[in-house]
Amino acid sequence: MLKDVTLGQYFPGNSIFHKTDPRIKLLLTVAYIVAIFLAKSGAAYALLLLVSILITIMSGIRLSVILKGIKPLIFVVIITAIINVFWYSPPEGTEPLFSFWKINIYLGGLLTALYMAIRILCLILGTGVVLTYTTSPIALTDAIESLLSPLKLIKLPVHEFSMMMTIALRFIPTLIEETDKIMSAQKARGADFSSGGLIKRAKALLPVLVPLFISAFRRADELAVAMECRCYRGGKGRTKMTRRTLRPYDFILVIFFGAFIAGVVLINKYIPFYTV
Amino acid sequence: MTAAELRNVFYTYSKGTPFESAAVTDVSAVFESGMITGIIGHTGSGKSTVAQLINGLLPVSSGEVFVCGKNIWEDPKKMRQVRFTAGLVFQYPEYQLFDETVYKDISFGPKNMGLSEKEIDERVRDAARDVGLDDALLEKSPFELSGGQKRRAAIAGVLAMRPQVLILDEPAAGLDPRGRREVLGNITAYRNKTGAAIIMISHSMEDIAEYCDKIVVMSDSKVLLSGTPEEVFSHADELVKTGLTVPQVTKVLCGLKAMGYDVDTSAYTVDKAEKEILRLFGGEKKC
Ligand SMILES: Nc1ncnc2c1ncn2[C@@H]1O[C@H](COP(=O)(O)OP(=O)(O)OP(=O)(O)O)[C@@H](O)[C@H]1O
Ligand SMILES: [Mg+2]
Repeated sequence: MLKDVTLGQYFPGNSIFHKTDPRIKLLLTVAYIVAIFLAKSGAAYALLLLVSILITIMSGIRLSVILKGIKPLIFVVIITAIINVFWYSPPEGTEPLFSFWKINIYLGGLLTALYMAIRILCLILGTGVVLTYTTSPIALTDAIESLLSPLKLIKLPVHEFSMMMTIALRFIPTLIEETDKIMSAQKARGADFSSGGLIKRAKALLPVLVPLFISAFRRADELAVAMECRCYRGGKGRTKMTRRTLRPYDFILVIFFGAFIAGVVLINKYIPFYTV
Repeated sequence: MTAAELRNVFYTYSKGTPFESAAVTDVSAVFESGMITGIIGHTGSGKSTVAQLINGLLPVSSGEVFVCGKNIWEDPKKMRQVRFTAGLVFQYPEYQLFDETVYKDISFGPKNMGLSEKEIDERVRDAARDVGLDDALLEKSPFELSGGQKRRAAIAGVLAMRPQVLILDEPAAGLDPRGRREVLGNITAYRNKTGAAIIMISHSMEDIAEYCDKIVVMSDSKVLLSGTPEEVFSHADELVKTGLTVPQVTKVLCGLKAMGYDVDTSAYTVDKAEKEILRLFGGEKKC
């Protein structure tokens, strides 16, 4: 069912990642992604994997949830890895590891594939754990608004942008639930979404899409009225219910990630095993 | 005759995630042909979940569901057939209307059954008549109808499949008193005409008391009481304890009993209560 998609969903909890200021988490996620792309040496990739697994454990998110989130992407990882094995063009004069028929497999190709798989896995784990699984959508958009607020000086509508995002995020689960409900209702009348060719399946979705759009428009209307009734007039002079200040664990996490990036850079330089 | 049956059915939503919630625990119930069985219970007690378990929209976590004598999970490939036999009208079904005209929307179910044009036409007109929709409305867009008319059109969409078990989730919710009476009257008429088993979910004790032959009371995902209205409403204390009420007239009788009169508190419709009170005071009906 649609409901079972867990990637990008928020899971309440009590770990250090749940407590950290979302602005810090947003910045650390960027730093983490940079670290992933800095890695070159085999040892650096090992560190990446290690840290990713460590933070996953620290976040206290259940393994089954994480595996469910990763599952749909495994296919992508495998395809990318396979393509990398075959598309690798080695420097002149490299002996292939082994070859059959017309295909040569090089050590470099295998390594590239392995590193690519590790990168994607770490990206999923890291961004999922540090950001989406442990940050509520409201906190996330709040953080984005706060980080982008300097752009207000050049008259960019930062608040409106973040409000739009909040609303969009807020309505994703509602729309998923609604889709499920409408699909069930049409299934009760014998609709069949899972057999037939592509065109037949697309046609079968019509009885779901029409009511879904109608209700989405209705909701948008109602929401606009409700916001106006509560005197929403855009971002000017608007205050926040929660003011965030930095606390000790924010700094702990910053130091941890700082050490992590430094580690990757140093390892690249001093332990360049199996660098591709 | 037993038309549908649940045997020790369990169902848990979002199994294996932090949002896991047991919505139905060990529910057993029998639904007879030609009878209207009411399911009543407080918000979140699992009524809608039971409705979707009966026609196989939700897979049982454990237990068995029988429709017309067949275990529906024995052969999941035939599930569509089960859905035609056990028609389900969802809560607020008007939000599922989608086609250009009311006629086309009602014909969605029969078309999925693979019937002939002639048969479909007959069924659509029959179903529209059953719910009291004018022939003139059939060519209109469903989105031009009033709320009550939309509700009827949606119910007709299920009736057109001529289900032997008809499940209705809060069919009268949000309608005015007259609309309520008409829709519930249409449902009773359908039962009388076809002898189908009707399962009706409702919040209103009055509606349940007036229209149902049997009642299943749900509380906290379990069956609390079941039986004829007399049997169920004689447990007034238990009903009140779980946050439900008994019909107003039963309350009056209970009040009389508490004052020391020797009344039978199982009367649950105005007519029956009137007789009981008249018997008690030895009077005759004056007007
Ligand atoms: N799609 C869902 N995902 C997760 N939990 C659900 C879902 N639908 C219902 N539940 C939970 O299952 C329980 C039973 O819900 P159900 O809809 O069957 O109640 P109900 O008796 O029909 O209530 P109401 O009278 O409000 O319609 C509730 O606790 C609800 O929170
Ligand atoms: Mg319900």
